[in-house]
Amino acid sequence: MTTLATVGSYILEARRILQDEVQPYRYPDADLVAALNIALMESRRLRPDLFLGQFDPLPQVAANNDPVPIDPMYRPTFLYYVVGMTELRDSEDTKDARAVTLLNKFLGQLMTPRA
Amino acid sequence: MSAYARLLDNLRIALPGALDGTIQQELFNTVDELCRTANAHRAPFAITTVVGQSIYPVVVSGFVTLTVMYASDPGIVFDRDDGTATLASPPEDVRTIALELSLGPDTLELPADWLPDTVWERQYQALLHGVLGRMMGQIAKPYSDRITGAYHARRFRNLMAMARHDANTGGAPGAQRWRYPRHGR
Repeated sequence: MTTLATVGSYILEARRILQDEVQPYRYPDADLVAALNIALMESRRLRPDLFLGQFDPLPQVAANNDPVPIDPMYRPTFLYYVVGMTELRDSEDTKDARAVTLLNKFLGQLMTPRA
Repeated sequence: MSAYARLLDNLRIALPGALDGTIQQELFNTVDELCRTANAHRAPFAITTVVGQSIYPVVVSGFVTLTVMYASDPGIVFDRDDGTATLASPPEDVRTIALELSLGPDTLELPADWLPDTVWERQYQALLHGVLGRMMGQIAKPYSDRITGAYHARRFRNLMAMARHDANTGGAPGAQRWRYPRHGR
């Protein structure tokens, strides 16, 4: 069972949703990690309370074993962002509507009770 | 279950999506306001006089001394900036002066670690409504709710007024609320 506690578990879960589990991957690990770091920056703007005690410097992640410093309640929210950002790219196998839905889900879950 | 654990559970239930750290931050703010405005946390303090010495430190570790609510020596003057009490005249003998202090928090540690059980029990509703009002008053959070937040903030202010009255009267029912203005005393 994944707990989305580390970068590696985000990559694993994101690949499952993206159906990109067989090498060679369509989406490199570096792109998924970059999306996760952008999610951290975006959430710092929207929900500074998620970073209580770690405002400066803003946490960034790189390696697979790096912990992602987000409360378990909000970890699925970040997964949606990673998948949404990845699907935003202009390629045959992605759908813009799905990407927008996932990115909106990220915003909604951070800021409203019913998303 | 301790009053603190019960309070935290109530707050978690009423505030979906709120982090414990944020709740504790606002709990600190609520306790701080309650102490400073209503003298909600009071504790006894004793000064043992030294012959010829007029000034004594009034320091309680981990707290800020806000004011002296009562002193068995009526001539005592408390200096909040220095945290000292000055007697009207240098004592000529060794005796004990009893004080009742109003204390405020001087630490960002969890209130559960330093706020006495008596305050948790007496001010439970005030703390609950105070934190709910502050949390729901935050903008753009899953638990933001200006109308309900205003209701809780109003309840908090009412309970804080009652706590202040209790602090001033010792909780005696029907005790007088008026007093002569300062210039008339």
